[in-house]
Amino acid sequence: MRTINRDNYEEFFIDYIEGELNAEENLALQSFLALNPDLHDELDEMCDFDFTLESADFNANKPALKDIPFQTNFDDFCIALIENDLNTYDKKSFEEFVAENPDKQVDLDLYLKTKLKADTTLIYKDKKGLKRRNKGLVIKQFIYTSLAAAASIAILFTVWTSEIEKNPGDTQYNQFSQNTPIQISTPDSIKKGITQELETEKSSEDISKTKKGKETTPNKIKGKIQNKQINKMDALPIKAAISPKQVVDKIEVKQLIAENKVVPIKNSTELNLKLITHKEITPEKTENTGLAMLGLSWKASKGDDEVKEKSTLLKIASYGVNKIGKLAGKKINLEKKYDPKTDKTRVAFNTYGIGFSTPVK
Amino acid sequence: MKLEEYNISVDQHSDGVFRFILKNIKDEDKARDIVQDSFEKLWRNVDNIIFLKVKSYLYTTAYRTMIDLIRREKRKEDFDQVDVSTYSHSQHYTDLKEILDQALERLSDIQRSVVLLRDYEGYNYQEIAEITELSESQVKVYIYRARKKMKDYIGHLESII
Repeated sequence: MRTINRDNYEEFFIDYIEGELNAEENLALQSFLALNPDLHDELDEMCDFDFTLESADFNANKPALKDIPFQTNFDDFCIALIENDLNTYDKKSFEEFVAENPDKQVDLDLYLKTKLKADTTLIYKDKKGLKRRNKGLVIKQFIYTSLAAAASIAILFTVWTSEIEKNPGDTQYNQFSQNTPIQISTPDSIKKGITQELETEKSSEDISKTKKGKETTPNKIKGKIQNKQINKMDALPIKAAISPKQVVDKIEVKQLIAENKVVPIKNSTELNLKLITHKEITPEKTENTGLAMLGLSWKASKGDDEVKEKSTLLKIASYGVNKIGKLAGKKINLEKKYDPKTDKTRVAFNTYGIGFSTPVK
Repeated sequence: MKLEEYNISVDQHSDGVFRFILKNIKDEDKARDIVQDSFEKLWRNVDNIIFLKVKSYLYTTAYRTMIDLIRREKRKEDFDQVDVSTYSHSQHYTDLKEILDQALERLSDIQRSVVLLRDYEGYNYQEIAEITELSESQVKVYIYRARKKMKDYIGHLESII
């Protein structure tokens, strides 16, 4: 049982009023009040308190609304209403005020129209462009892409060079590169031309010198061209139709070696020159110079195998080009183009608008 | 912020930032550039920004970039210096959206920005203050003035129509 004292008597008083004290507690309360008569009045006050809820009469506050300056600060109240800055009481009061003044309703409506709504049809379309991918994945893809691009170019170039090899007997076309020694076999017509020129020079020289020349110079001179100089040579290998005449024009002949002896041309008496190609270096050994430029080596075999290899290479090249196209967002196809002028078929693809880049911080 | 969260931010906020900027400067290409620039800056600071603050960061960055652009171009005149009647007679507006767009254009840059942030994105005064580097009370004043000007403009046009 609880004991009542001056520290907790309020609790007992409340329980007493609400009828929640048992008989013993009720007796204890009566004894406590007898001993503390000053608290008797307090209990009486608590018993008189009426908790019944009064009916809320909003109209009763009406005179107080007149104090709110709706008339003078009408605009501010309108904006505050839009911005939800009014408390519940002010909001209700203001709405009542507007309802009673129809002319104010027009102004309030105008204010309500100033509330903007987002135009959801306006969207940022290129979200994909803003998004990021895993750095490791990007680097991997970049490496694969680079490799695919390099492989494609190498393969394309190889296919191209093998196309040239298709007609090895075609002496009109020669393939040049900077790092390839060029051996030229001069045709008879050129030899004759050179002989005639030298003979002309010879006729203007002293007869005595001619006699000496006859003693020292053999009738037929075998020689090779040294210190040749190619005037125009691009960094990349070029395929060009070069006539024998053009080849001679580009070569500066400094001296001729005849039978391992240096013989000055001016001293030659019988200038039946015969320029031959160096036997050790033949055109067959300078094949696939395009691959050599790329640091690779591959030599197409002949016959059926050649066709098979070409087909495989074309497939690989096509795969590489497709990958590049996917990354660039363009459709790129390998195309075989026949050139009737040169009677050659080339494999090519269009690279307009394709570039490779990597983000740099 | 993680990579995935960054990409979610793109989905969630790129449209909003784009709309906000486009409504301010009325130039789609420049708006797109500003959005791109803002996300680029976000990506550069992705490790220092928490996901919960990303929206605020994006709007702040975009807003400041836009203000720099506007200052450079000095292309707009303040509504205060504009005689509304010079605009109202030349065009006929039948759509409230069009009228509001016109009214919005005639606000000053800062008034337009705070109203757009308030109405489009539902930012409170404090958030707008952080984005625009103003005080809360300044934001409140700008919004109140903007609303009054827009109401006057709409009312003027409606009385003519």
